Amino acid sequence: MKANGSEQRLGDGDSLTVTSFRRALDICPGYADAFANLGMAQAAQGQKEAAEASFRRAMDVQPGHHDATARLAALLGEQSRDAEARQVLEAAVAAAPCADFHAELGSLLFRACPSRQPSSTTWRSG
Amino acid sequence: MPEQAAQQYHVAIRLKPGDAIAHFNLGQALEEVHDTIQARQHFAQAAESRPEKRLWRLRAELCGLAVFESSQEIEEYCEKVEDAIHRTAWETSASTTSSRRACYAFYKKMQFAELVASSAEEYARKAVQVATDRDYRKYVTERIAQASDVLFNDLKAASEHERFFEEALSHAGY
Repeated sequence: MKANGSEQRLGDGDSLTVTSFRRALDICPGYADAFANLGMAQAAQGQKEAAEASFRRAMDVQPGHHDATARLAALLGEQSRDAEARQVLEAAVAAAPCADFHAELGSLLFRACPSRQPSSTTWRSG
Repeated sequence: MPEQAAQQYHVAIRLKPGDAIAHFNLGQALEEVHDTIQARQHFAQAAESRPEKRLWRLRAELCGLAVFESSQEIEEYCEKVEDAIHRTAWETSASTTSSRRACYAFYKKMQFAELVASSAEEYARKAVQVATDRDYRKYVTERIAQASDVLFNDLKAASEHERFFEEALSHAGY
């Protein structure tokens, strides 16, 4: 079973997508991509807490998992939890330099400046 | 904070040199710490990578000009200028506005081609420069004053000039 086989359906709010990734994880509990995709599906359905947990599980299984890191930082940022987002990104770049994560760290730091807004970057990993 | 942000953008660009957004954001961070020369370069690099982002080009040209208090103000100003360009370019291409033709004739008579634009982009650059660069504004004002006697103190010409600049300022949102 491909963990990203239903990727094109992400974001459509289809609960079957969540179910599919859960089934994938039943078969292969150490599949980081499946956790990351499950997180994305949950986030698309507005299940922020569940999504956060799934992203963190993906990162536990595979530290530095790119998509999980990116999505988790974005999710935290959306909830104005910038300090936590920063921790996630700093840990990621400490493990392996990544242009996207450095850029997002820059935007988080810049966002802290009064009346300053960096250009919208959107997560490039998605 | 802006210094730290700039450091992160620098690393991002080192890792991915063609990242236009990182260049643009680095420009903003550098502008915040008043490193306008570097900021301008990064805005220009961003604009070069993404030519469709015309506001980024204007941003590079406006960077460091003291009349603006914040990058937000520059952004808003750019949008107004961009809007004015679209309207003005349309009017010019239609060739129906006597005021612009009159202005051109006056400048020609004064042998002052400095404010004559041959394209919408050039018009934008000149409009921005007149509106934002005090020294340049002073220079063109003096040049016009020096050369305007060739217009024989024509009141109609003077009022046409006045109207042109009022219109330009109005387009720019002043």
